[in-house]
Amino acid sequence: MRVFEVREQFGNCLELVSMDPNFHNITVGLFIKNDILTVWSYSKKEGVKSRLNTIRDKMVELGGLKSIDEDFKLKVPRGYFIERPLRFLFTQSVEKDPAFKFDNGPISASDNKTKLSFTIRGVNKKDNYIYVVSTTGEHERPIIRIRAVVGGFVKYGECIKLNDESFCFKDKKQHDEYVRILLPYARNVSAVENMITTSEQTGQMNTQTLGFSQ
Amino acid sequence: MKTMTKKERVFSALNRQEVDRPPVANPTSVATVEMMDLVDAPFPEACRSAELNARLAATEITEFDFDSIAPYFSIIQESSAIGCDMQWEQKDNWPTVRMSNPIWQDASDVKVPKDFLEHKDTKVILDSIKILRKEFGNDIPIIGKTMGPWTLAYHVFGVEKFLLGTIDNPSETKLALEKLKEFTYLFGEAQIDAGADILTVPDHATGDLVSGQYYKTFLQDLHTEMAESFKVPLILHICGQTVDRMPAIAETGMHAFHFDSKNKPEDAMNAVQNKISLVGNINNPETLYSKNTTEVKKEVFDCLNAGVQIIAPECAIPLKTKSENLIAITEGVTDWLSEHNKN
Repeated sequence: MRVFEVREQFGNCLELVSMDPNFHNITVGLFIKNDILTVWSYSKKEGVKSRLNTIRDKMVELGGLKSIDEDFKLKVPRGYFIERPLRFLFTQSVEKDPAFKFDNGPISASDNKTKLSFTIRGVNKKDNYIYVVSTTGEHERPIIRIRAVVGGFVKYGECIKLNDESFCFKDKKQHDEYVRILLPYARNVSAVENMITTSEQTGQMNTQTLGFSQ
Repeated sequence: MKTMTKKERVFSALNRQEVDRPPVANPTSVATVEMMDLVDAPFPEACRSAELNARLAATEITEFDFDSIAPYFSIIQESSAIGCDMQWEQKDNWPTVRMSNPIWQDASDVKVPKDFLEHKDTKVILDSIKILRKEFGNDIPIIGKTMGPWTLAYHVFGVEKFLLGTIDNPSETKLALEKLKEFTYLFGEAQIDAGADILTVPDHATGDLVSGQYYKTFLQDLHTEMAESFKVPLILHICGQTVDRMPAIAETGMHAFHFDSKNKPEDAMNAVQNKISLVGNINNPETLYSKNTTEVKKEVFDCLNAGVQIIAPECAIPLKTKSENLIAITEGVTDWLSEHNKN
């Protein structure tokens, strides 16, 4: 398929993973047109169609999106179009081992800056689904780390901070899949920002990347 | 005005003459990871095999409808042939020279290897140009690329050592540049013989490393000599803030200067006083890489409103650039023409 056909049929590219470690290092893009997402690659390697559908299925499995009866495509349910978590979800669906699954239990992750562990629980209060962050483990002032996690959800999930310990999504609905996806990023924003910057620098040609300025 | 061929359009713009529509032509590179997949020509192989190189370069015309083809994507082909320590990287990153491990100490070391033009990494560009010339005929301009002596000096001596030398022993620096320019001529002439219509000369006396006075002291005369000697139009490429040296660059006789988005198009146009064409300057790291088509078109409009003759990304585009943003450059020109009732 030509470039202009891809744009016409699949819309704009939301995220591009330059090398798929699970399939011949092909480049895979996530495109969006109206509320339909398409996983697409220009590669013509044998088996690519199956690989793209596997990525699509992984997005459905991990992200709570809806598969539709068409190759490479999935639907974004109302309220689920939140750009950053969708992009993280896509990247994870491409880069993680195809056998990877999230734990089904409570949404939790260990803090990589302290010995704390975070747990996020959702509660429905007057048609507003609220997520509350708590910790287990020892730390002098765990609230500092909890506040940071809430800040991470505001940054990457476009969430609304309700207080130092809780947040909700803009549509005030339940999005457990996104919370699961975002928690590893939200717990350490500075490291994630560094990772994003490094990733963005790869493939750029400028005096820094060429080594002309130290 | 009658519709021009792509070659007529680019040449007219290089000569600051009237065009049917402003050309879109990147003198550096529009290689992307998506196009590598489309034509099955990934980096670094596409920098080392003529067939893959030509295939990837052709997407500039076949997919994006730009007005030229530039098959030399990186800035390291000569340096590899000279014998520099190379890091070839992978599909999504640029090959580079390990400048922390320089191969030469001073001007006395500078010697052209006997097999310089037969080396795999120079020959690939020559052979690719031949393939593209055969495939696309004479109506599409092929832009070759030959590194200037300043860039080569970074590669062979190391950046820090070379720049310190400009202070400690400027006459030695001048001697080194004089000797290194032989590579620029040899590779440039060979590309013209292979079929290149235009040459880009990247010479990274960049704004964040050296002053405008450095340009005048060390490079202006060498570039003037190149403009006189080469039989095809030359496009000088220097990254960074360069408005301070643009008046000097405009006096060299080169046909065009490919400028960075760190310089405002109006400031650049004022600096060169219509003595040289300008090529540029769509921002790469922010606009082309991460913004949307609306933002790309806005920058195209800014360039055209200022009078920039050839529209292009400011440098080799990021390898992960989304295709839609490249299409938006040409569309931006079309939109601008419609808005100004010029077509």
